[in-house]
Amino acid sequence: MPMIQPPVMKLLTTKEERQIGMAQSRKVTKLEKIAFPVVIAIIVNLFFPPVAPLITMLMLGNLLKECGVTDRLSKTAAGGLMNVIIMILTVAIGSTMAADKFLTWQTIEIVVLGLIAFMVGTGSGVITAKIMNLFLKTKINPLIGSAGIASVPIAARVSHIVAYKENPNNLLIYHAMGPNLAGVFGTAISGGIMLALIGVS
Amino acid sequence: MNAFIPDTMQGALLLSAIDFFLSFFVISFIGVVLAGFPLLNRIGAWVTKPSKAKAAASKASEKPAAQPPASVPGGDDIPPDDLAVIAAVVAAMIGDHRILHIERQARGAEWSSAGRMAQHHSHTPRDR
Repeated sequence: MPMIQPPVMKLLTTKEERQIGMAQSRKVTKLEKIAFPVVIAIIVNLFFPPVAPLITMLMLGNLLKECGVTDRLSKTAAGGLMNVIIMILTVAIGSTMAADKFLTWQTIEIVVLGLIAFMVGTGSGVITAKIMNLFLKTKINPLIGSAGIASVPIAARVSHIVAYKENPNNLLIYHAMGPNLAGVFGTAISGGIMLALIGVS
Repeated sequence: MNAFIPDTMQGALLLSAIDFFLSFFVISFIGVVLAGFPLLNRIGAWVTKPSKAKAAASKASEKPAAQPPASVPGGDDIPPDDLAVIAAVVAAMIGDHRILHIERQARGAEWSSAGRMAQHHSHTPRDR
């Protein structure tokens, strides 16, 4: 990510745009933090039932962290349980990577497609931010658009670092986390909808 | 794969394009929902307004809560000014309260367990 994104970001933005400073966002209350996962889970479950299990689990983890009274469960979900799942997934996926299936030209095609997808995602995020600036009175720094890639928190950190190098007074990490997480939620929901509705096996 | 999307490179690219535009729609939808969240704060403030007014009225009619105890077991060697400061800090941190006991900490590093023990022993039932 730190190698792929910065050249694309610099190619699509001017120096003045990269130096745009952003004011601190409004304070988010505890009520909003607790209501967010509940509201999103209800809306998604009502309108997009095929992705209900995926999104509800995502929002459950968020709610465990934000409600403040399930500290033990939140630490378990974010720590031990997550590590166990990572290990199981790694071993399970790795066990299917037999040499005759993995070491093929198709694998290299998929990796190259992934790189192209990162570049297209980065560029589209930056261009979307520039389009939004045409209508907004308070301009946003287009670099945070590149954080729309759902790689938390690396994409946001790359946006922050590129902006910081242009203007040391610019600390965009919190602003970049917004599109970063929007990308996570959006791609999770849209991917689940697509897989369910199109019937991809 | 179904009949519309072949299981080929072209099918994968088509899926990516569909997902790309669908993501814009979904994220915009989430943005619209989030734009209504400041309204939640107003509703929350409106709901808690009567209970806050009630709490403020009862506070005004009560004695000041941040008073050091008249007799402080084990705290005779603590200056009254220090007792007043401690009581004021506790009142600022936790609001209405009643101080049961203040004493010098001479038990070592485990102040939290020491505080818990002192609090539990203060409510020990007496044998009659």
